[in-house]
Amino acid sequence: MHLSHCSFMKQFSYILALSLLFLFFSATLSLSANSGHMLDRFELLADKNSPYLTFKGFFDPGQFPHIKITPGNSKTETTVILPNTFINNILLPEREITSFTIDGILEKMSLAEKITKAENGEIDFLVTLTVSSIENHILVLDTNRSDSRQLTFALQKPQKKAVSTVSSDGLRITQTVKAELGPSKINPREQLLLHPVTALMSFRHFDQLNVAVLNASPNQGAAQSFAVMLDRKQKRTIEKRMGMKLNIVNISSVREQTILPKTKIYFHANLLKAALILAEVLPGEQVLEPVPDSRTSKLSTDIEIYVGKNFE
Amino acid sequence: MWGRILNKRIYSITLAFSLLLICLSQPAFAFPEYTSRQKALKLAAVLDHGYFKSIKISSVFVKNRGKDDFYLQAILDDGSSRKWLLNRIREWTQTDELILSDNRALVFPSAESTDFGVLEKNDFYRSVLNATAFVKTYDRHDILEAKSLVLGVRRFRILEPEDRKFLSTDKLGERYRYVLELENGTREFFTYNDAFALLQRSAFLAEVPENVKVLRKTFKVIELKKIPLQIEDELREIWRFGIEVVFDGPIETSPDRFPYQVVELKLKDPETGRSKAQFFLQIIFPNSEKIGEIAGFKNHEYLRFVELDTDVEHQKRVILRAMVNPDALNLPPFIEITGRNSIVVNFYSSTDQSLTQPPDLLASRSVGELPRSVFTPDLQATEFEKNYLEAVAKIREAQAQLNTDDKIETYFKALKSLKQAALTSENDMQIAQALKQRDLLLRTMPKLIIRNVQMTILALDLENTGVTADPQVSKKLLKQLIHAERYATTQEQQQKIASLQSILR
Repeated sequence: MHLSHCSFMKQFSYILALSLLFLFFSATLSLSANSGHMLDRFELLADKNSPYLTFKGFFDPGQFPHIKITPGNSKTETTVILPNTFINNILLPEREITSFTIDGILEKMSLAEKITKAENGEIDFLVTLTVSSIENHILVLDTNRSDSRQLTFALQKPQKKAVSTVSSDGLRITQTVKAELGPSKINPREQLLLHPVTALMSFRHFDQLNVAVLNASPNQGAAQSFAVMLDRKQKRTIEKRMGMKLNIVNISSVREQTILPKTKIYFHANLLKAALILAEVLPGEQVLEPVPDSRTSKLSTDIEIYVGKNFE
Repeated sequence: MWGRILNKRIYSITLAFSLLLICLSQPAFAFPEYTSRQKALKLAAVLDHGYFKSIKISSVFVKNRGKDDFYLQAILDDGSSRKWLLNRIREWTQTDELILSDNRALVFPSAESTDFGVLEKNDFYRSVLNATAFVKTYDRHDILEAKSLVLGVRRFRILEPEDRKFLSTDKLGERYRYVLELENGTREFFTYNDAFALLQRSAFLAEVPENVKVLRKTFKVIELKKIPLQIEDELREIWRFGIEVVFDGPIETSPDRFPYQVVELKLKDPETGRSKAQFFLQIIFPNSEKIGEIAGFKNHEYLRFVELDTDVEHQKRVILRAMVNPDALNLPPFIEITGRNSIVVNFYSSTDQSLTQPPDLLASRSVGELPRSVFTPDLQATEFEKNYLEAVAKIREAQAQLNTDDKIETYFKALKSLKQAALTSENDMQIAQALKQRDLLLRTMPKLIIRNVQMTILALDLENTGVTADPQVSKKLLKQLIHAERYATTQEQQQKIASLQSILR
């Protein structure tokens, strides 16, 4: 009896150790697995005042900040590096497009897909986009017009700066956005969406709430623990009260540079009520704010929860 | 037996597993030690002829560990050769142990990437000393994130030992170096990283463009006023009330600079001792201050304990705070800047449950991503969008009209636009929304028309005098009644319509 018990315990120990290893490797794999973008087609809106170059397909808005835009070899050339990106070869077979109108904005656009295998076995894939414009234009990622289904670049004419610029020997400058100083121009659509009563006339009730849980706590696993708590313990209560399915679309275990003292719930327009229900159900104290206009991922997530220091 | 098992296998596996975890998790959140070849080459050129711990750098060259991992090797004037990893270079620049030649500073804007920049300090000094205005852009996670205010510059200084922030660092470990005093009484402390980013963003304005208003002093709150409850939207039975915050001068900025947030606080009930969640709605007023005691209100509709407080965490900010019942808060507040030196915060209440009533969960079986709004993310306005926007504009115009007859006529125009919107819709979501708005209008119109015809008859005193109305007026009212008859929803409405028609005929 004693011997069989010991042998059972031994077997149990092996299984436990193997399970732990399996869990570890699967977790590592899931962390290293990349999501990314797929380019299906492109459109050029050749508006004289505000031209845009839009790529249609599937995009991960969370990766938009990793897109690198650098000046090309000439004044009119710009290179855009889209990491974790594939080209849909069926829908977008051409690699060099020159069929732009003569009196248009663009002269040539080339796409190069690069897939490499790193020494550690990871596959890196990226697309380098080279855009040549007829006049000197700056390509700027337009986050307001980019979402999970499209990626938009605004083609802006270089502006004269009010003060001298700093010479930079670095490769990338993180903040190059020139602040909009004058009174903001609001188009009729924005005007409608800004007013809570008229906004009611443009949104529909929907049945699924897409939530992203991100870490803004010193504890590295806080987002994961929060998401587990949300998904397993509170999901039914929240769904019942909101009348929507709760769908956790993204959990970021990467800690932000900023540590928030309290968990912050960012909600998109018309989702104040849903955010309030979430806050009521969740333990601890929360701060609720509308998503800032400057943020990306317009459609991919409805609510972003930044797990703060107060989450235990 | 257990001891043997643990000693031999499990213990070693657990130890190896833990060590592996520690090793793997370490670099995920630390500054990288290696960089790309291109960046390493550029960085080597930048560091050349600088100073490391007061020793001149003779030369810097690039070495690599693997195919993509590059670092630097420096030869100093004292003849020593040093291996320089990127994380160490960053640390030395933060502590001023590594100084660039020609009064420049090396900056690493991100704590996770080896991207770097070079701050030309002389250029920075010239810019900031020539600046008359500073474009303050709020940081990530601030309630005003990415929004800007243009503030007048009073004085620029290099931090000295007597300054509060001298030698102190920001969250990235960067030392504060400079202070910019602004005309509104606030002070901005800058690290080299900040200075670099501000120059890149052209945050220092030597000349202010004509359309830009520089804020040279704070908005000072004088008083709070209640705005009583009034109807906002008769179609959905939405009511509006407000709080007017009166300032000492005109508010020269846009309404989006006054955002709102909801803060949850767990407060202990003094009677039961149990903590209960309370929600506070806060409207933030930047560049503002409270110079005296401002009387608040204990109650105003669904708001409780309305008060104006100074924000203790941010300079020159005041907060309009009120306790709210989250169940009553169906719509967000809306900020309006008036022409009478005030800001009106509008709050909305509704008895119409359909505003927040969720769809039937069991009936919802959506697959994939459906649009959340009637507007497509495309850049050009579609035909539907034009028609729908016109309809909404007409509905809002009608709601603001006092004359019921004019209101009805405007609603008729809105119905026409909604029909056009439905005809030009491109997806189910668009047509459903257009029809929903149409039905809301049609539901309200009979009531409005009956009231209008009744009021007109009373005004003309047609019922008692037996005098016939102006044929034009009669024709118009009868036309309205035909419409009302078609969409009347109750027996009572039908009877009233019939009676009114007989009077007019």
